Amino acid sequence: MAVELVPDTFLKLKTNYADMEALKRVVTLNYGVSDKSEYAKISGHGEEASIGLAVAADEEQVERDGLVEIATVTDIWGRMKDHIPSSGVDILVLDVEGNEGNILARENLPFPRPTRVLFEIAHLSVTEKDEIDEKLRSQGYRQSADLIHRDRLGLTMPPQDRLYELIVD
Amino acid sequence: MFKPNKRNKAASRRRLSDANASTSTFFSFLIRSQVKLATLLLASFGVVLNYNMIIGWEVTSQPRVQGATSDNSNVCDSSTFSPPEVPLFIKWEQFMPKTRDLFFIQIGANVGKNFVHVIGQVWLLS
Repeated sequence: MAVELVPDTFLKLKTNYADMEALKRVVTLNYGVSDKSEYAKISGHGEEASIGLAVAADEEQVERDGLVEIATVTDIWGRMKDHIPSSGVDILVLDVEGNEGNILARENLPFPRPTRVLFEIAHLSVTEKDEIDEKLRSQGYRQSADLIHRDRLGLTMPPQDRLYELIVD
Repeated sequence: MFKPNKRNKAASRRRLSDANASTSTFFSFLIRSQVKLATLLLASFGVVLNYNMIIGWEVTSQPRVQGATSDNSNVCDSSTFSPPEVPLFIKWEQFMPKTRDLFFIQIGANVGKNFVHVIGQVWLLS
């Protein structure tokens, strides 16, 4: 499943995955993810898009104002419950431009817990990284690697991503 | 001794001003040309730099995990990631085991691909 908040980016995602044979079965959702459920008005494009929280009285307003739903990770798991196989979730990948702390440090991950959690640390403070670390460890994860992006820019920078794996007894 | 009358003075001032004008025009032309040349050079440098960046994104995205290849034809070990390197998030699937279908949840999936167009200094994932 691939979740993308920005509407025009989401449309490209849908088209791209539809074109890739191996990824045709990927379910795509135009959602934002945070630690609480709400709505957002998105303006701008791509990673430069700005996000303003909004209140939606009804579905008509959501449609009329072009609002995007912000869900919690638990909501996302709930929407996917019929699709999650018996083998569980192999990996949860997070790249939410600094909002990783709100998703990973506030609440426990829902069941079935993903075997791996990969998230961007480039925008996080030391405190946020520590909070996430504490929360994930309390759920049975261990940090297994700090990783760098494999592009020319990434190779010259400190690691941008962190990988945790669920410890299996 | 020549004593310029008012008319001569005016003519003399005009000539001087014309001369100054042509000098300043020449210098401003020279400066404009240099600015244009510098801009051209910078633009060419930018194109080369950006070209390398594009190539860089493609070339350096080859997985280095044991048993994995970029075309997904091999199967990875259960210890799938080889620190400290991983591709951009949007190509992480190449680093996962292929013994069975994967179930992943990717939040902030962007456009789902790893190809980058560069326009000026703005990177656009397409």
